Amino acid sequence: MTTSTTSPLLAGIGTIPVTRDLQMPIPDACVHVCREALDNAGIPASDVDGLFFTPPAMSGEPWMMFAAQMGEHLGITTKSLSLVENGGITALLALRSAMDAVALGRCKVAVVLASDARPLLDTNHFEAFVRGVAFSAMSLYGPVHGAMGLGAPIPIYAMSHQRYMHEFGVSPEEVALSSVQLRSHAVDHPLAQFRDPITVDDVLGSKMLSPPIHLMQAAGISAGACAVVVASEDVVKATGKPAIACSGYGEHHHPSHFIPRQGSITTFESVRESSAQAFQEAGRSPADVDVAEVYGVFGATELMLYEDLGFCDKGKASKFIQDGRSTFGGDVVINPSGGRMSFGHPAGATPLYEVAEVTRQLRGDAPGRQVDNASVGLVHAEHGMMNGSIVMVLEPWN
Amino acid sequence: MPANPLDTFTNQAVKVFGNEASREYQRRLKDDRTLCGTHCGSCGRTAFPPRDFCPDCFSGDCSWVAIGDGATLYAFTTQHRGLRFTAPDVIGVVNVPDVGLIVTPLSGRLDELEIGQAMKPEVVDINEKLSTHRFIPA
Ligand SMILES: [Zn+2]
Repeated sequence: MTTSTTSPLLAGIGTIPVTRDLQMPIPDACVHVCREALDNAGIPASDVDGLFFTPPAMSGEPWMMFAAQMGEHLGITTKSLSLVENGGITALLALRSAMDAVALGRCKVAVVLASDARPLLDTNHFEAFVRGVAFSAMSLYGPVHGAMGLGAPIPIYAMSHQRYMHEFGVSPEEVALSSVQLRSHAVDHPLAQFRDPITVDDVLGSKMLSPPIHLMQAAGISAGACAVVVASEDVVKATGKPAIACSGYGEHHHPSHFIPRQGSITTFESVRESSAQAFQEAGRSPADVDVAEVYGVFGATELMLYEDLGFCDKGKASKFIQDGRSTFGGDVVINPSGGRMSFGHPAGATPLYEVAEVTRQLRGDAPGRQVDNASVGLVHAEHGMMNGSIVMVLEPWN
Repeated sequence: MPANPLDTFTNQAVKVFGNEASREYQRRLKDDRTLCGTHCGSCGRTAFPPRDFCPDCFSGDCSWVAIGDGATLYAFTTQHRGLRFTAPDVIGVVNVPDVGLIVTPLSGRLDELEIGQAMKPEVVDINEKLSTHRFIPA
Protein backbone atom coordinates (compact mmCIF):
# COMPACT_ATOMS: atom_id res chain seq x y z
CA MET A 1 0.00 0.00 0.00
CA THR A 2 1.47 3.31 -1.06
CA THR A 3 0.52 6.53 0.64
CA SER A 4 1.15 10.09 -0.44
CA THR A 5 4.08 11.51 1.48
CA THR A 6 5.78 13.72 -1.06
CA SER A 7 4.97 16.64 -3.33
CA PRO A 8 5.88 15.92 -6.92
CA LEU A 9 8.30 18.70 -7.93
CA LEU A 10 9.22 20.04 -11.35
CA ALA A 11 12.99 19.61 -11.24
CA GLY A 12 14.27 20.16 -14.77
CA ILE A 13 13.27 21.17 -18.27
CA GLY A 14 14.58 20.64 -21.79
CA THR A 15 13.43 22.41 -24.97
CA ILE A 16 14.26 22.84 -28.63
CA PRO A 17 13.20 25.89 -30.68
CA VAL A 18 9.73 25.73 -32.23
CA THR A 19 9.95 25.57 -36.03
CA ARG A 20 7.61 24.82 -38.93
CA ASP A 21 9.18 21.41 -39.48
CA LEU A 22 11.07 19.40 -36.90
CA GLN A 23 14.81 19.97 -37.33
CA MET A 24 15.63 16.37 -36.43
CA PRO A 25 13.80 13.03 -36.37
CA ILE A 26 11.23 12.68 -33.56
CA PRO A 27 13.23 10.11 -31.52
CA ASP A 28 16.33 12.33 -31.72
CA ALA A 29 14.29 15.33 -30.57
CA CYS A 30 12.96 13.32 -27.61
CA VAL A 31 16.44 12.13 -26.61
CA HIS A 32 17.83 15.66 -26.95
CA VAL A 33 15.24 17.30 -24.67
CA CYS A 34 15.32 14.36 -22.24
CA ARG A 35 19.10 14.66 -21.76
CA GLU A 36 18.87 18.45 -21.43
CA ALA A 37 16.07 18.20 -18.83
CA LEU A 38 17.95 15.64 -16.70
CA ASP A 39 21.12 17.75 -16.92
CA ASN A 40 19.05 20.80 -15.93
CA ALA A 41 17.67 18.87 -12.93
CA GLY A 42 21.07 17.53 -11.92
CA ILE A 43 19.65 13.99 -11.89
CA PRO A 44 21.36 11.07 -13.68
CA ALA A 45 19.38 9.00 -16.19
CA SER A 46 20.02 5.96 -14.02
CA ASP A 47 17.71 7.48 -11.37
CA VAL A 48 14.76 7.77 -13.76
CA ASP A 49 12.03 5.22 -13.01
CA GLY A 50 9.10 6.64 -14.97
CA LEU A 51 8.59 7.76 -18.59
CA PHE A 52 5.41 9.50 -19.79
CA PHE A 53 5.02 10.28 -23.48
CA THR A 54 2.59 12.13 -25.72
CA PRO A 55 1.89 10.63 -29.16
CA PRO A 56 4.63 11.54 -31.63
CA ALA A 57 3.30 13.71 -34.46
CA MET A 58 -0.14 13.79 -32.81
CA SER A 59 -1.68 15.20 -35.97
CA GLY A 60 0.29 12.91 -38.27
CA GLU A 61 0.87 9.21 -38.65
CA PRO A 62 -0.05 6.74 -35.92
CA TRP A 63 2.97 5.11 -34.28
CA MET A 64 2.13 1.98 -32.35
CA MET A 65 4.01 1.18 -29.13
CA PHE A 66 5.96 4.43 -29.27
CA ALA A 67 6.50 4.55 -25.49
CA ALA A 68 7.86 0.99 -25.40
CA GLN A 69 10.18 1.66 -28.32
CA MET A 70 11.46 4.88 -26.75
CA GLY A 71 11.96 3.11 -23.41
CA GLU A 72 14.24 0.69 -25.22
CA HIS A 73 15.97 3.42 -27.23
CA LEU A 74 16.69 5.49 -24.09
CA GLY A 75 17.83 2.38 -22.22
CA ILE A 76 15.87 3.36 -19.12
CA THR A 77 14.32 0.79 -16.75
CA THR A 78 11.00 2.06 -15.37
CA LYS A 79 8.19 1.31 -12.96
CA SER A 80 5.78 3.29 -15.13
CA LEU A 81 5.88 3.66 -18.91
CA SER A 82 2.92 5.12 -20.80
CA LEU A 83 1.55 7.33 -23.53
CA VAL A 84 -1.31 9.74 -22.89
CA GLU A 85 -3.63 11.50 -25.34
CA ASN A 86 -6.59 13.85 -25.07
CA GLY A 87 -6.31 16.60 -27.68
CA GLY A 88 -4.83 19.90 -26.59
CA ILE A 89 -4.43 18.99 -22.91
CA THR A 90 -2.39 15.89 -23.80
CA ALA A 91 0.97 17.10 -22.46
CA LEU A 92 -0.51 18.43 -19.20
CA LEU A 93 -2.29 15.09 -18.72
CA ALA A 94 1.04 13.31 -19.24
CA LEU A 95 2.57 15.66 -16.68
CA ARG A 96 -0.29 15.00 -14.26
CA SER A 97 0.20 11.26 -14.70
CA ALA A 98 3.88 11.66 -13.83
CA MET A 99 3.06 13.85 -10.83
CA ASP A 100 0.46 11.35 -9.62
CA ALA A 101 3.01 8.51 -9.91
CA VAL A 102 5.56 10.45 -7.85
CA ALA A 103 2.97 11.61 -5.30
CA LEU A 104 1.82 8.01 -4.80
CA GLY A 105 5.39 6.84 -4.34
CA ARG A 106 5.27 4.62 -7.42
CA CYS A 107 8.11 6.60 -9.03
CA LYS A 108 10.89 8.81 -7.69
CA VAL A 109 11.93 10.46 -10.95
CA ALA A 110 9.53 10.60 -13.89
CA VAL A 111 10.35 12.25 -17.20
CA VAL A 112 7.53 13.65 -19.34
CA LEU A 113 8.42 13.74 -23.04
CA ALA A 114 6.21 15.61 -25.50
CA SER A 115 6.81 16.16 -29.20
CA ASP A 116 4.78 17.15 -32.23
CA ALA A 117 5.29 17.43 -35.96
CA ARG A 118 2.65 18.06 -38.58
CA PRO A 119 1.98 15.63 -41.43
CA LEU A 120 3.36 16.59 -44.81
CA LEU A 121 0.38 16.56 -47.13
CA ASP A 122 2.18 14.98 -50.06
CA THR A 123 0.39 12.54 -52.36
CA ASN A 124 2.06 9.51 -50.79
CA HIS A 125 0.18 9.61 -47.58
CA PHE A 126 -2.62 12.09 -48.20
CA GLU A 127 -5.09 9.22 -48.51
CA ALA A 128 -3.96 7.73 -45.23
CA PHE A 129 -4.30 11.14 -43.62
CA VAL A 130 -7.83 11.61 -45.00
CA ARG A 131 -8.75 8.11 -43.86
CA GLY A 132 -7.52 8.88 -40.35
CA VAL A 133 -9.46 12.14 -40.20
CA ALA A 134 -12.56 10.57 -41.74
CA PHE A 135 -12.47 7.61 -39.37
CA SER A 136 -12.02 9.75 -36.30
CA ALA A 137 -14.75 12.17 -37.44
CA MET A 138 -16.98 9.19 -38.17
CA SER A 139 -16.26 7.28 -35.05
CA LEU A 140 -19.27 8.25 -32.96
CA TYR A 141 -21.55 10.60 -34.87
CA GLY A 142 -20.26 9.86 -38.33
CA PRO A 143 -23.58 9.74 -40.11
CA VAL A 144 -24.51 13.00 -38.39
CA HIS A 145 -21.38 15.12 -38.78
CA GLY A 146 -18.73 13.28 -40.71
CA ALA A 147 -20.46 13.10 -44.06
CA MET A 148 -20.28 16.88 -44.28
CA GLY A 149 -16.54 16.98 -43.78
CA LEU A 150 -17.10 19.29 -40.83
CA GLY A 151 -14.65 19.22 -37.99
CA ALA A 152 -11.78 21.55 -38.88
CA PRO A 153 -11.20 23.75 -35.83
CA ILE A 154 -10.72 27.12 -37.56
CA PRO A 155 -14.38 27.66 -38.62
CA ILE A 156 -15.59 26.53 -35.20
CA TYR A 157 -13.35 29.05 -33.46
CA ALA A 158 -14.36 31.67 -36.07
CA MET A 159 -17.96 31.39 -34.91
CA SER A 160 -16.87 31.82 -31.30
CA HIS A 161 -14.94 34.95 -32.39
CA GLN A 162 -18.04 36.26 -34.23
CA ARG A 163 -20.25 35.68 -31.18
CA TYR A 164 -17.66 37.34 -28.90
CA MET A 165 -17.77 40.56 -30.96
CA HIS A 166 -21.58 40.32 -31.21
CA GLU A 167 -22.27 39.70 -27.52
CA PHE A 168 -19.75 42.12 -26.01
CA GLY A 169 -19.56 44.85 -28.68
CA VAL A 170 -15.84 44.25 -29.32
CA SER A 171 -14.39 45.57 -32.61
CA PRO A 172 -12.11 43.69 -35.04
CA GLU A 173 -9.31 46.14 -34.16
CA GLU A 174 -9.69 45.36 -30.45
CA VAL A 175 -9.51 41.61 -31.08
CA ALA A 176 -6.42 42.14 -33.25
CA LEU A 177 -4.59 43.64 -30.26
CA SER A 178 -4.06 40.18 -28.81
CA SER A 179 -1.94 39.13 -31.80
CA VAL A 180 0.11 42.35 -31.65
CA GLN A 181 0.70 42.01 -27.91
CA LEU A 182 1.83 38.40 -28.16
CA ARG A 183 4.16 39.14 -31.07
CA SER A 184 5.82 41.86 -29.00
CA HIS A 185 6.64 39.16 -26.42
CA ALA A 186 7.98 36.71 -29.00
CA VAL A 187 10.34 39.19 -30.65
CA ASP A 188 13.16 38.49 -28.18
CA HIS A 189 12.33 34.88 -27.27
CA PRO A 190 15.07 32.49 -28.42
CA LEU A 191 12.66 29.55 -28.91
CA ALA A 192 9.79 31.39 -30.64
CA GLN A 193 8.76 30.64 -34.21
CA PHE A 194 7.31 34.02 -35.31
CA ARG A 195 9.38 37.03 -34.23
CA ASP A 196 8.88 39.92 -36.70
CA PRO A 197 6.98 42.80 -35.04
CA ILE A 198 3.42 43.31 -36.34
CA THR A 199 0.70 45.99 -36.09
CA VAL A 200 -3.10 45.89 -35.92
CA ASP A 201 -3.13 46.84 -39.64
CA ASP A 202 -0.88 43.86 -40.42
CA VAL A 203 -3.23 41.53 -38.54
CA LEU A 204 -6.41 42.78 -40.19
CA GLY A 205 -4.64 42.96 -43.57
CA SER A 206 -3.47 39.35 -43.40
CA LYS A 207 -5.30 36.68 -45.36
CA MET A 208 -8.82 35.83 -44.20
CA LEU A 209 -9.06 32.18 -43.16
CA SER A 210 -12.62 31.73 -41.86
CA PRO A 211 -14.28 35.10 -41.24
CA PRO A 212 -13.62 36.90 -38.95
CA ILE A 213 -10.32 35.04 -38.30
CA HIS A 214 -7.31 36.37 -40.21
CA LEU A 215 -4.07 34.42 -40.70
CA MET A 216 -2.28 36.40 -37.97
CA GLN A 217 -5.07 35.49 -35.54
CA ALA A 218 -4.40 31.76 -35.78
CA ALA A 219 -1.57 29.61 -34.49
CA GLY A 220 0.64 28.46 -37.34
CA ILE A 221 1.94 25.06 -38.37
CA SER A 222 4.60 24.11 -35.84
CA ALA A 223 6.86 21.34 -34.64
CA GLY A 224 8.81 20.99 -31.41
CA ALA A 225 9.72 18.85 -28.42
CA CYS A 226 9.93 19.50 -24.70
CA ALA A 227 10.74 17.49 -21.58
CA VAL A 228 9.98 18.03 -17.89
CA VAL A 229 11.53 16.05 -15.04
CA VAL A 230 9.20 15.38 -12.10
CA ALA A 231 10.98 14.24 -8.91
CA SER A 232 10.17 13.56 -5.28
CA GLU A 233 11.21 15.99 -2.54
CA ASP A 234 14.07 13.82 -1.27
CA VAL A 235 15.55 13.48 -4.75
CA VAL A 236 15.36 17.25 -5.32
CA LYS A 237 16.87 17.96 -1.88
CA ALA A 238 19.87 15.83 -2.77
CA THR A 239 20.47 17.81 -5.97
CA GLY A 240 20.40 21.18 -4.22
CA LYS A 241 18.81 22.68 -7.34
CA PRO A 242 15.76 25.00 -7.42
CA ALA A 243 12.50 23.18 -8.11
CA ILE A 244 8.92 24.21 -8.73
CA ALA A 245 5.84 22.90 -6.92
CA CYS A 246 2.29 22.68 -8.24
CA SER A 247 0.44 24.42 -5.40
CA GLY A 248 -2.96 24.15 -7.07
CA TYR A 249 -4.46 21.88 -9.72
CA GLY A 250 -7.83 22.11 -11.46
CA GLU A 251 -9.38 20.02 -14.21
CA HIS A 252 -12.89 20.16 -15.67
CA HIS A 253 -14.53 18.63 -18.73
CA HIS A 254 -17.91 19.78 -20.04
CA PRO A 255 -19.80 16.95 -21.78
CA SER A 256 -19.32 18.41 -25.27
CA HIS A 257 -16.76 18.39 -28.07
CA PHE A 258 -16.34 21.72 -29.93
CA ILE A 259 -19.86 23.25 -30.07
CA PRO A 260 -21.77 22.48 -26.85
CA ARG A 261 -25.43 21.58 -27.32
CA GLN A 262 -26.27 23.64 -24.26
CA GLY A 263 -23.98 26.44 -23.18
CA SER A 264 -21.97 29.37 -24.41
CA ILE A 265 -19.24 29.63 -27.05
CA THR A 266 -17.87 32.88 -25.59
CA THR A 267 -17.41 31.89 -21.97
CA PHE A 268 -16.20 28.44 -21.05
CA GLU A 269 -17.33 26.47 -18.01
CA SER A 270 -14.28 24.22 -18.13
CA VAL A 271 -11.87 27.15 -17.90
CA ARG A 272 -13.79 28.90 -15.14
CA GLU A 273 -14.18 25.71 -13.10
CA SER A 274 -10.61 24.45 -13.53
CA SER A 275 -9.10 27.80 -12.62
CA ALA A 276 -11.39 28.18 -9.60
CA GLN A 277 -10.33 24.71 -8.38
CA ALA A 278 -6.64 25.43 -8.91
CA PHE A 279 -6.78 28.83 -7.16
CA GLN A 280 -8.72 27.37 -4.24
CA GLU A 281 -6.26 24.52 -3.77
CA ALA A 282 -3.32 26.94 -3.95
CA GLY A 283 -4.97 29.49 -1.65
CA ARG A 284 -4.33 32.06 -4.37
CA SER A 285 -6.40 34.37 -6.55
CA PRO A 286 -5.86 35.63 -10.11
CA ALA A 287 -4.48 38.87 -8.64
CA ASP A 288 -1.60 36.90 -7.07
CA VAL A 289 -0.35 35.57 -10.41
CA ASP A 290 2.84 37.19 -11.75
CA VAL A 291 3.28 35.17 -14.93
CA ALA A 292 0.92 32.94 -16.91
CA GLU A 293 1.10 30.81 -20.01
CA VAL A 294 -2.33 30.19 -21.52
CA TYR A 295 -3.54 28.14 -24.46
CA GLY A 296 -4.99 30.83 -26.73
CA VAL A 297 -4.77 29.33 -30.19
CA PHE A 298 -6.84 32.07 -31.87
CA GLY A 299 -7.05 35.85 -31.36
CA ALA A 300 -10.45 36.11 -29.72
CA THR A 301 -9.86 32.91 -27.75
CA GLU A 302 -6.82 34.53 -26.15
CA LEU A 303 -9.08 37.35 -24.90
CA MET A 304 -11.84 35.05 -23.64
CA LEU A 305 -9.26 33.05 -21.68
CA TYR A 306 -7.97 36.12 -19.82
CA GLU A 307 -11.58 36.71 -18.76
CA ASP A 308 -12.52 33.14 -17.87
CA LEU A 309 -9.27 32.60 -15.92
CA GLY A 310 -10.28 35.61 -13.83
CA PHE A 311 -7.64 38.17 -14.84
CA CYS A 312 -10.27 40.69 -16.01
CA ASP A 313 -14.03 41.14 -16.49
CA LYS A 314 -16.00 39.52 -19.30
CA GLY A 315 -15.67 41.44 -22.57
CA LYS A 316 -12.85 43.60 -21.17
CA ALA A 317 -9.70 41.67 -22.12
CA SER A 318 -8.86 43.91 -25.05
CA LYS A 319 -8.99 46.95 -22.75
CA PHE A 320 -6.86 44.97 -20.26
CA ILE A 321 -4.22 44.53 -22.98
CA GLN A 322 -4.53 48.12 -24.22
CA ASP A 323 -3.93 49.41 -20.68
CA GLY A 324 -0.71 47.43 -20.48
CA ARG A 325 -1.98 45.20 -17.69
CA SER A 326 -1.12 41.85 -19.36
CA THR A 327 2.50 42.64 -20.21
CA PHE A 328 5.79 43.56 -18.51
CA GLY A 329 5.15 46.17 -15.83
CA GLY A 330 1.44 45.30 -15.67
CA ASP A 331 -0.73 43.20 -13.33
CA VAL A 332 0.39 39.87 -14.78
CA VAL A 333 2.60 38.96 -17.73
CA ILE A 334 0.48 36.66 -19.86
CA ASN A 335 2.31 34.55 -22.41
CA PRO A 336 5.83 36.00 -22.14
CA SER A 337 6.78 33.27 -24.64
CA GLY A 338 4.65 34.94 -27.33
CA GLY A 339 1.74 32.58 -26.77
CA ARG A 340 0.44 30.01 -29.22
CA MET A 341 0.05 32.54 -32.04
CA SER A 342 3.67 33.78 -32.00
CA PHE A 343 5.70 31.31 -29.93
CA GLY A 344 4.35 28.56 -32.20
CA HIS A 345 1.97 25.71 -31.45
CA PRO A 346 3.24 22.13 -31.71
CA ALA A 347 -0.03 21.04 -30.07
CA GLY A 348 1.15 17.78 -28.54
CA ALA A 349 4.04 19.59 -26.84
CA THR A 350 2.55 23.06 -26.30
CA PRO A 351 1.46 22.66 -22.67
CA LEU A 352 4.93 21.42 -21.66
CA TYR A 353 6.50 24.45 -23.37
CA GLU A 354 4.16 26.56 -21.24
CA VAL A 355 5.39 24.76 -18.12
CA ALA A 356 8.99 25.28 -19.28
CA GLU A 357 8.48 29.03 -19.72
CA VAL A 358 6.79 29.49 -16.32
CA THR A 359 9.44 27.32 -14.65
CA ARG A 360 12.24 29.43 -16.15
CA GLN A 361 10.45 32.62 -15.07
CA LEU A 362 9.95 31.37 -11.49
CA ARG A 363 13.61 30.33 -11.31
CA GLY A 364 14.73 33.77 -12.52
CA ASP A 365 16.21 32.08 -15.56
CA ALA A 366 14.53 33.98 -18.43
CA PRO A 367 17.18 36.46 -19.62
CA GLY A 368 15.87 39.25 -21.83
CA ARG A 369 12.25 38.57 -20.85
CA GLN A 370 12.43 38.02 -17.09
CA VAL A 371 9.26 38.95 -15.20
CA ASP A 372 10.38 40.91 -12.12
CA ASN A 373 10.04 39.02 -8.82
CA ALA A 374 8.01 36.24 -10.41
CA SER A 375 6.80 34.04 -7.55
CA VAL A 376 3.37 32.75 -8.61
CA GLY A 377 2.84 31.24 -12.06
CA LEU A 378 -0.11 29.74 -13.92
CA VAL A 379 -0.30 27.28 -16.79
CA HIS A 380 -3.47 26.50 -18.75
CA ALA A 381 -4.35 24.10 -21.56
CA GLU A 382 -7.62 22.98 -23.16
CA HIS A 383 -9.07 20.50 -25.62
CA GLY A 384 -11.83 20.80 -28.21
CA MET A 385 -12.92 24.42 -28.07
CA MET A 386 -12.33 24.84 -24.31
CA ASN A 387 -14.66 21.88 -23.70
CA GLY A 388 -12.08 20.59 -21.24
CA SER A 389 -9.40 22.50 -19.38
CA ILE A 390 -6.51 22.04 -16.96
CA VAL A 391 -5.05 24.84 -14.84
CA MET A 392 -1.95 24.52 -12.67
CA VAL A 393 -0.69 27.13 -10.20
CA LEU A 394 3.10 26.83 -9.97
CA GLU A 395 5.35 28.27 -7.27
CA PRO A 396 9.02 27.92 -6.28
CA TRP A 397 9.51 25.08 -3.77
CA ASN A 398 11.02 26.11 -0.42
CA MET B 1 -13.63 12.35 -61.88
CA PRO B 2 -12.06 10.29 -59.07
CA ALA B 3 -14.30 9.65 -56.09
CA ASN B 4 -13.84 11.95 -53.09
CA PRO B 5 -11.78 9.78 -50.71
CA LEU B 6 -14.09 10.98 -47.95
CA ASP B 7 -17.00 9.13 -49.62
CA THR B 8 -15.10 5.87 -49.56
CA PHE B 9 -13.88 6.28 -46.03
CA THR B 10 -17.24 7.56 -44.77
CA ASN B 11 -19.00 4.48 -46.11
CA GLN B 12 -16.36 2.21 -44.57
CA ALA B 13 -16.38 4.05 -41.27
CA VAL B 14 -20.16 4.02 -40.96
CA LYS B 15 -20.02 0.22 -41.14
CA VAL B 16 -17.27 -0.10 -38.54
CA PHE B 17 -17.81 2.81 -36.18
CA GLY B 18 -20.80 5.01 -35.48
CA ASN B 19 -23.66 3.73 -33.37
CA GLU B 20 -27.09 2.31 -34.08
CA ALA B 21 -28.85 5.60 -33.36
CA SER B 22 -26.68 7.50 -35.81
CA ARG B 23 -27.38 4.86 -38.49
CA GLU B 24 -31.13 5.21 -37.88
CA TYR B 25 -30.67 9.00 -38.01
CA GLN B 26 -29.11 8.62 -41.46
CA ARG B 27 -31.95 6.33 -42.64
CA ARG B 28 -34.61 8.82 -41.49
CA LEU B 29 -32.76 11.63 -43.22
CA LYS B 30 -32.33 9.72 -46.44
CA ASP B 31 -35.61 7.80 -46.70
CA ASP B 32 -38.02 9.95 -44.68
CA ARG B 33 -36.38 13.30 -45.59
CA THR B 34 -36.63 14.31 -41.92
CA LEU B 35 -34.03 15.73 -39.55
CA CYS B 36 -34.46 13.94 -36.23
CA GLY B 37 -33.30 14.00 -32.66
CA THR B 38 -34.33 11.72 -29.80
CA HIS B 39 -36.83 12.85 -27.18
CA CYS B 40 -36.59 11.56 -23.61
CA GLY B 41 -39.89 10.41 -22.11
CA SER B 42 -38.42 10.67 -18.63
CA CYS B 43 -36.93 14.17 -18.41
CA GLY B 44 -38.48 15.64 -21.54
CA ARG B 45 -35.25 16.83 -23.13
CA THR B 46 -34.28 16.28 -26.77
CA ALA B 47 -30.80 15.04 -27.70
CA PHE B 48 -28.86 15.80 -30.84
CA PRO B 49 -26.92 13.97 -32.17
CA PRO B 50 -29.59 11.34 -31.42
CA ARG B 51 -28.93 8.51 -28.96
CA ASP B 52 -30.69 5.37 -27.74
CA PHE B 53 -30.39 6.68 -24.19
CA CYS B 54 -30.80 10.14 -22.69
CA PRO B 55 -27.49 11.95 -22.05
CA ASP B 56 -29.27 14.25 -19.59
CA CYS B 57 -30.86 11.66 -17.26
CA PHE B 58 -29.59 8.28 -18.57
CA SER B 59 -33.11 6.96 -19.16
CA GLY B 60 -33.56 4.49 -22.03
CA ASP B 61 -37.07 5.80 -22.72
CA CYS B 62 -36.23 7.66 -25.94
CA SER B 63 -38.26 8.17 -29.10
CA TRP B 64 -37.53 9.76 -32.46
CA VAL B 65 -38.78 13.29 -33.03
CA ALA B 66 -38.48 15.69 -35.96
CA ILE B 67 -36.47 18.81 -35.05
CA GLY B 68 -35.65 22.13 -36.66
CA ASP B 69 -38.88 24.13 -36.38
CA GLY B 70 -38.28 27.63 -35.05
CA ALA B 71 -34.51 27.48 -35.57
CA THR B 72 -32.55 30.73 -35.52
CA LEU B 73 -29.06 31.49 -36.80
CA TYR B 74 -26.60 31.65 -33.90
CA ALA B 75 -23.25 32.07 -35.72
CA PHE B 76 -21.80 31.56 -39.20
CA THR B 77 -18.57 31.60 -41.19
CA THR B 78 -16.99 29.95 -44.21
CA GLN B 79 -14.94 26.78 -44.36
CA HIS B 80 -12.25 26.55 -47.03
CA ARG B 81 -10.36 23.43 -46.21
CA GLY B 82 -12.79 20.77 -45.07
CA LEU B 83 -12.51 17.42 -46.76
CA ARG B 84 -15.65 18.01 -48.80
CA PHE B 85 -15.15 21.72 -49.31
CA THR B 86 -13.05 22.90 -52.22
CA ALA B 87 -14.37 26.48 -52.29
CA PRO B 88 -15.43 28.66 -49.39
CA ASP B 89 -18.70 27.16 -48.23
CA VAL B 90 -20.94 28.70 -45.62
CA ILE B 91 -21.35 26.80 -42.37
CA GLY B 92 -22.96 27.84 -39.13
CA VAL B 93 -24.50 27.06 -35.80
CA VAL B 94 -28.27 27.18 -35.43
CA ASN B 95 -30.18 27.36 -32.17
CA VAL B 96 -33.03 24.85 -32.31
CA PRO B 97 -35.84 25.10 -29.71
CA ASP B 98 -35.82 22.20 -27.19
CA VAL B 99 -32.50 20.96 -28.60
CA GLY B 100 -29.84 23.66 -28.46
CA LEU B 101 -26.91 24.45 -30.72
CA ILE B 102 -26.35 22.40 -33.89
CA VAL B 103 -23.42 22.73 -36.29
CA THR B 104 -24.62 22.70 -39.87
CA PRO B 105 -23.83 23.64 -43.44
CA LEU B 106 -25.90 26.64 -44.52
CA SER B 107 -27.38 27.71 -47.79
CA GLY B 108 -27.00 31.39 -48.46
CA ARG B 109 -24.38 34.07 -49.04
CA LEU B 110 -22.20 35.02 -46.08
CA ASP B 111 -22.89 38.73 -46.55
CA GLU B 112 -26.65 38.20 -46.56
CA LEU B 113 -26.87 36.22 -43.32
CA GLU B 114 -27.61 37.76 -39.93
CA ILE B 115 -27.35 36.45 -36.38
CA GLY B 116 -30.86 35.75 -35.09
CA GLN B 117 -32.63 35.23 -38.43
CA ALA B 118 -35.15 32.40 -38.84
CA MET B 119 -33.83 29.18 -40.42
CA LYS B 120 -35.30 25.82 -41.44
CA PRO B 121 -33.74 22.42 -42.17
CA GLU B 122 -33.51 20.64 -45.49
CA VAL B 123 -31.99 17.36 -46.62
CA VAL B 124 -29.15 17.23 -49.13
CA ASP B 125 -28.07 14.01 -50.86
CA ILE B 126 -24.30 13.76 -51.00
CA ASN B 127 -24.30 10.56 -53.02
CA GLU B 128 -26.57 7.52 -53.34
CA LYS B 129 -25.53 6.24 -49.92
CA LEU B 130 -25.18 9.40 -47.85
CA SER B 131 -27.36 12.38 -47.06
CA THR B 132 -26.82 15.29 -44.74
CA HIS B 133 -28.78 18.16 -43.24
CA ARG B 134 -28.44 21.80 -44.15
CA PHE B 135 -30.24 24.88 -42.86
CA ILE B 136 -31.61 27.59 -45.14
CA PRO B 137 -33.24 30.95 -44.39
CA ALA B 138 -36.90 30.30 -43.49
ZN1 LIG C 1 -33.78 12.33 -19.98
